Amino acid sequence: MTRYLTQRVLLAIGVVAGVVVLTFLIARIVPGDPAVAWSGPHAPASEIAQVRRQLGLDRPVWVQIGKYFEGVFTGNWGTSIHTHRPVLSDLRKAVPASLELVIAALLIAVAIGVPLGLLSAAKRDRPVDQAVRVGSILGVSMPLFWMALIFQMVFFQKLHVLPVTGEYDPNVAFAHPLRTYTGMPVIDALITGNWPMLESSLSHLIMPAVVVAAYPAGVIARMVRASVLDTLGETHVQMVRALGFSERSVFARFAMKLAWSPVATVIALVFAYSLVNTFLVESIFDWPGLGNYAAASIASLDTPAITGVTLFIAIVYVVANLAVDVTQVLLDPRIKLQ
Amino acid sequence: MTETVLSAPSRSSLIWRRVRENPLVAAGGAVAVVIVVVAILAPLLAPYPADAGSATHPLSVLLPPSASHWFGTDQVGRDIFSRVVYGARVSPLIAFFVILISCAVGIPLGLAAGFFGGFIDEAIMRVTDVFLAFPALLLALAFASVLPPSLTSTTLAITIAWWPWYTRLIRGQAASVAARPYVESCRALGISRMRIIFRHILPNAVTPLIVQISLDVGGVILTASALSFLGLGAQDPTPDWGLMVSQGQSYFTTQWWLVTFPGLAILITALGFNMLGDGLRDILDPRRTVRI
Amino acid sequence: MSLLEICGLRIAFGERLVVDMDRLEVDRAQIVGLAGESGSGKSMTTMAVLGLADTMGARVEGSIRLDGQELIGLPQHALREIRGRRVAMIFQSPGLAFNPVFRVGKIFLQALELHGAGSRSEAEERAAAALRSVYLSPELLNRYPWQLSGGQLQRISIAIALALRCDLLIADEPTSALDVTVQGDVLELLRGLREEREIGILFISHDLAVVAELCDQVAIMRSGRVVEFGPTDQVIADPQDAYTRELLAAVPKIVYRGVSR
Repeated sequence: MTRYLTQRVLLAIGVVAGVVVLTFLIARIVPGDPAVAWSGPHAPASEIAQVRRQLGLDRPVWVQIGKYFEGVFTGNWGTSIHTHRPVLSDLRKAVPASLELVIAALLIAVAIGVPLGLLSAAKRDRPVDQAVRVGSILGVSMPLFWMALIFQMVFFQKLHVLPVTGEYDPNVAFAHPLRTYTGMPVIDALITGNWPMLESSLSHLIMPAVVVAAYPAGVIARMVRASVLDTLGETHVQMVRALGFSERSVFARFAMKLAWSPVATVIALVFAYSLVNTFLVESIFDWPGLGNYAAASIASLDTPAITGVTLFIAIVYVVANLAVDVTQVLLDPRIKLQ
Repeated sequence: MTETVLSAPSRSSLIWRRVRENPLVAAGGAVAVVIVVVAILAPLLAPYPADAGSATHPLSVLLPPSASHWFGTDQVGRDIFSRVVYGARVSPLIAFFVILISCAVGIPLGLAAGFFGGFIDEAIMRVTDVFLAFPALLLALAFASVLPPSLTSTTLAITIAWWPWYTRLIRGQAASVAARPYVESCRALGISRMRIIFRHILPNAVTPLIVQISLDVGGVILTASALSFLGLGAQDPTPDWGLMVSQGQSYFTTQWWLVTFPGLAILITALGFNMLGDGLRDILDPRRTVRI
Repeated sequence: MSLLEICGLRIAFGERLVVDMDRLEVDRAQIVGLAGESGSGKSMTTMAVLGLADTMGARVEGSIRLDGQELIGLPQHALREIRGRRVAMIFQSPGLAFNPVFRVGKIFLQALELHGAGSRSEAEERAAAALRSVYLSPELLNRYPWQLSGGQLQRISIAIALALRCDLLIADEPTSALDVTVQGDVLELLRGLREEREIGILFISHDLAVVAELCDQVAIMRSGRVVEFGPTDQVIADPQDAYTRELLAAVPKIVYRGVSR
């Protein structure tokens, strides 16, 4: 077991390293000069040259990559060209906002997807099942940026029910200053008992979270349905039925334990996917997360920032995959044998 | 019970019956056909074909939907309905090329990896794993951001993100078939490797490949429209749906029709192809056999 | 009155008929073999006897009587009284038939408690006794299915049927996935069930040699129909149906109770 795990971890590290190299290579194709982007287009050549030396851009590519890796492990992820701040501190500010969004979205997706998937499996091929199946396909076919705009129009414009931009109302924040612990307003407000801020940040969170939840909800519902039906078709379930247990017992006591494993897998994978999906939604909701940061970095050819964002998401993705592997082994004893 | 058919029905009639019974495939297939037809017949269906190009009509700017402009007009007076109709040519075309190139690159690599195994397998799959470590959108974004914004760039960027999936799919198929005893006996008989690949491995791989492709069309269309929305893809005056949504964003609060209709087109197209793919997967899934 | 009487049974998937059985009977203390190729309808017949055919999406018509009681059309709660209490089933792949997440004993005991074995200790007693009668140590109840061999799992399945005190046992290809040497043990146990407990056994198999060795009566199935049904020695010595003759010809040598062919 430990050998399997160390193997997976080493592989993960290798993959992340590969990703970094890839990003570097991508950024090298950039038909622009980051040093110019840093200093501004009207800076004199000497200043640009100086900046270039400062940023280490005059070294050969493989040296740059080497120094970058060195930096990654020592906490120096480079300096962002468009914010002029260390990339790591930029990330530290931007990541909690995106995390809050993704976690909220996943909670909503699980709350919607799991019950619907179970219902769909229980009433197989009946109208309810068909409806849920269409619904989940709808979820994964939704252009998120469009859905965000439509939601804004309906809930903000027409119904005046929900606020439209930002993580919270700045007026409320002024009146009831929020102590920052995790960087996620909802959680910070909760643990400090700051109820006005809790209300404000929750009401700002709902719309973007629901939009981001569309895709994972669809995927989860589908996966739950498939997993339950698969498990129900297996011989050991027939055996328990043949022993005279009620369908409900068969379902809840015997089948469900095995059905969860693939679902857990999917949830972990969808987490990283949703993190990237927030890119599309953050600019519309003025959400100060990774997406906004990444968009700004791309616009200004900010290589260290782009690499930093890519690296972070690759790490999340790889960790999620690893977590999936471990949970699978724990949940389904049959996999141990492989 | 009316019919007493005691002999096992042929495979094709089984498949055909499942197609009839499956509303998803029917609906999805219908939508897909409609989109393709609209794309082909765009010049005939669009009331103002020139509006799909660089025509501008400063006098009819931002008109709401009406009898003469079913979807209204945009910020430079172009008929949105015509642009949406012509947009049906843009997205599916991107999807077509992405999938074509991905298959052209991914399938041979997957075949090589699965069939030859060993070092070749390791090498190819490690590289593939690196690409697969990214969510597709992120990779496509990263590449698109360094290329000059255009349809070609989007196509290229998405292809780079997409080909590994085919490699992995085909590799799995190839590896499992190559491991079977009858393939070994083929080798022992001296049958050439190419023959084995074409006669035995590829036919088995066709079914999951078809399912994957039909599911991918929807995914590529969504990714492409996302890239265009972010400004990294098609540029004005190309009638790309994602671009149209992006352009209409600033007018959205008062002129809702600029954003609603192109976005709806994206949704319906992706929905149709996804339903088709889902239905096909149901039908062609070999695990559906029941022990009699 | 036979223990199990099947009359005019028809099972269909949609419009496709997979079983069209005129008559099949199993008596107490009797082993009836149901032989035929894959896809001939044997497994669906067993599902129908248990009232589980609809869980696979099939429709059932006709008559299946257990000690005179009609099973087709019986509501699920009544069928559940019969499943596990009067009728038990053994599956072809013992490795797949046990839920891998549970220890073998857990399901065994829960089944006993479900069918009125009384207290926990009583159930454990019965389970242990049953295991001993199939020559297994009761300690095996603490193992997981993937820790046990196919033969052991199959014998545990038989033990469950014993402990539940069933009248009818349906054995769906119980030895097909086992080694020849282990096969013999399982067959011997089944004979013991017939002799000592007077259980009626419906033995499904595609292996005519095993059927001939074990069964008192045999029914040959082809494409959902029973083409021949009668005492084994008679069917083997003087087959009426051409298909039966073909099947017999394909088997090198059949020994029925010392009478070889």
